[in-house]
Amino acid sequence: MSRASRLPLRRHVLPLVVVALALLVPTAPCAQQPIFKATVDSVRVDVEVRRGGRPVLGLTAAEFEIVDDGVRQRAELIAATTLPLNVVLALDGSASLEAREREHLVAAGRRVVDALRPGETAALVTFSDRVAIQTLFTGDLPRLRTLVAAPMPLGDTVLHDAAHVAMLLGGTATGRALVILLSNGNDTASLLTETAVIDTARRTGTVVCVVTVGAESSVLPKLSELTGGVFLKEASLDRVAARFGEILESFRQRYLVSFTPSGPGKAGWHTLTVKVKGGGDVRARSGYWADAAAPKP
Amino acid sequence: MAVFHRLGLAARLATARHFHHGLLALVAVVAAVVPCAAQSPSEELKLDWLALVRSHEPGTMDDASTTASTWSPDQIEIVLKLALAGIDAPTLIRALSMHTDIALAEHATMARPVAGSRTTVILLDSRPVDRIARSQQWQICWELATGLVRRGQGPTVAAWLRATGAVLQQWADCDVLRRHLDVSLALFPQDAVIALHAGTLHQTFADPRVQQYVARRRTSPRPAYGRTIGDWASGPPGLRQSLNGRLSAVGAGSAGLPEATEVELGRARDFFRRALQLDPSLQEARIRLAHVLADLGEHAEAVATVRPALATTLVPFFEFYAAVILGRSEEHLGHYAAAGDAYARAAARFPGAESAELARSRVALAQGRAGDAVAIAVGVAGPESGEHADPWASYFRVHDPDAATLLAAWRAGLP
Repeated sequence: MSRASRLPLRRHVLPLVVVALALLVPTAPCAQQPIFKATVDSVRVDVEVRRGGRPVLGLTAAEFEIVDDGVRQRAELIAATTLPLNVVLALDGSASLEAREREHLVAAGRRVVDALRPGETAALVTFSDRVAIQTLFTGDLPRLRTLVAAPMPLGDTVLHDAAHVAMLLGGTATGRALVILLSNGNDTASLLTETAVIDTARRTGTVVCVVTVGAESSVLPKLSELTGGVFLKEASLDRVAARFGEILESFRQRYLVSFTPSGPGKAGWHTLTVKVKGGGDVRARSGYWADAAAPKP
Repeated sequence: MAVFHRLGLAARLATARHFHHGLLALVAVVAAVVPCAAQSPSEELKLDWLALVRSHEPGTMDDASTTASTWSPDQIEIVLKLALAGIDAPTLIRALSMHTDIALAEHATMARPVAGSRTTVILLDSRPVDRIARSQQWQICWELATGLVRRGQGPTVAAWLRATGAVLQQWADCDVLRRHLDVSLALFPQDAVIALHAGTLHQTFADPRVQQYVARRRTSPRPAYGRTIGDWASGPPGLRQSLNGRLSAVGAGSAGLPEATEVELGRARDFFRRALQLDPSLQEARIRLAHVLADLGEHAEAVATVRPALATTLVPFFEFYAAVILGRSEEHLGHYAAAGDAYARAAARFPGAESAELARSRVALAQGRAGDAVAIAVGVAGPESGEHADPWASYFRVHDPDAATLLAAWRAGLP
C-alpha cells in the first residue's frame, strides 16, 4: 500500500498555485536566443498548511517563508475569497474502466459539480482514445451534471494528451484553478510523451490533483508533486466521489500567497521552497516557469 | 463411404451458382464413379481437395472454400502430405490462395474457442475482453508456402508472405503474425519487407497496451474477461491486441509472451536496420526506426534517421508519421521551431488530427505562446470540434502498400 493511500486525505492536500504572468509573451526559438532574462512580474502560489493533520488557519503573510532559487522573497497574502474557484474535471472514459466503475465515475463527477458554490465554475474534459472538452468553464450546474453523466466512447487512454489539455484550460481561469483528474493511471495512446506533459505542468502552473484506481502510473504522481496537488490511489472507484469532495474542500482552505521575484530574473524553471514559521506540513508547488523576455528591438 | 462423401461434394458443387463450378462438379461426379475402388481413402480425400482447389475463385468465399473450411485438421494433414509430395506447383499455389481466403473469412467470423483449440485473447486498451479460436488455415498456408519454396516458387511465396503479413499487421493480429514471420524469416532471411514487418511486430510488442497486459499476465496467469466465455482451452492463449480502440492480435503463451519494453524495442530497431540495409529506399523502415530510436532515448539519431524520409515522396499516412516522429524528437531536444514545423506539416496532411494538433499546442506553450496553445487545443478538442481522422491511432496497423493492394496483386499473378 502506498503512503498516499494509507494516510487520510487532509494530510496530503496542501496544494497551491503558481501563476506565471508572462505566459503570453512571445519568444524566439530556443536555439536562436541567447537572452534569458525573465519577464515574470509576480507569482501566486496556493499553499496549504496543516499541523497534526488539521488545516492551520489565520496565518499572516509574515509567517510564510518563500525561497525562489535560493533567494528569500517577500510574501503577500491575497484573500482567496476574492477569487472564484474554477475546477477542470478530467475523467477517464477509456475501455479499461468497466461498466460498474463508470457509474462511480459519474457519481464522483457529480459530487464535484454539486459542491460548486455561486460564482464558481467547472470545465469538463473526458478522454479515451481522444480528448474531448465537453464544456469550457461554466456555472451552469444542470448542464454540467448532464455532461458528466453522458456516455463516453470506449477506446484506449490518451492520458498525456488529456492532462495537457486540462492544465491548459486551468491556465485560462480568471480566478483560482484546480484540475481534478481521474484515471486508471496508464497512458496507452498519446502522441505527447511523459516528458512533454510534465513540461506543460511546469509552464501552466495549474494545481493537479489526481485520483487513480488500481493501476500504477509514473506520470501522475509527478504531476501532482510538481504542481502542489495530491495523488491518491484507490483500489476501487466507489471511494472516488468522497475523495473528490475532500479535494475540493481542502483546496478552499488554502492560502494564496503572492510575491514579486527579487532574484536575478532568469528565464526557465525556478525552484520554490515554501515554509511557515512554527512548522507544519506545507504542500506547495515545487517551482514555476519564467518565460524569456522578447529581445528588444 | 468415400464414394458417398465425394458424391455429396459433387452434388454441392453442382448446385453452385457459378457456371464454372457446375462444370467442375461434372468432373467431380466422373471422378466419383470411375476408379474409386482402386484408391485409398487418402487418395480419395486428395482428389476431393483438388476438386475444391481447382474450382475455387480466388478472393472469394465460394462453395469450394466453404466446403474446404469444414474439413478437420486430420483430413487436411493427410491431404497436405500427399499434395506436397505429388501435386504440381501451380495447383499448390491455387491451394494456397483458397486456404488464405478461408483464413481471411474466419477472421471475420471471430469463431469462439472450443476445447483443444489454440485461442487468442482480444484486448481493448490493454484489458482482455474476449477470446476467439485461432484459424487453423494459417498452418495449412505455411506448410503449402514452405513446400512451394522447395519447388522453386520462391518469388510467388515471398509475395504471398508480404501480402498476408500486411493483412495480419492491419488486423493487429500479432498472435498469428508472430508465427507467420517465423516462417517468413526462415524462408526469406534477406527480404527487406519481411524484416520490416518483423520490426513492426516487435515495436507493437513494446507498446503500452501490450506491455500492460503482459505485466498483468505475469502476476495473474488467468486474467478475467469482460464477459463469460468459458474456461481456458488447452494451452496458453495468444494475444489479440486492440490498437486504437479497435479489436485487433500478438503471439502469447507463457513461453511466447512479449519481453520487456526495452528488449522488444531493441529487436525492432535491429529488424528495421536490417530492412534498411537490404533496401535503403524502404522509407517505412526508416520512419519506424526513427520512432523506435526516440523511444530508446536516441532523439538526435532519430532526427537524423527520419529527416531523409520527409525529403522523399511519401503516402499521406507515412508523411504524417514521419512528421510527428520528427516533431517529437525535435521537441525533446528543445528545438521547438523545428518541432512546430514538423507538427504543422502533419496537421496539414490530416487537418483536424487531434494528435498532431495537441502536439502543436504543446510546442506553442513551450515557445511561450500560451494563448495559441489554448486556442489550438480548444479548436481540435473543444465542444465545437468535429470528428477527424487521426492516423496516429492506426500507426501499428498501417503498411505501404496497403494489404488489400498487395493481396490483389498477388492474386492477379495466380496461375
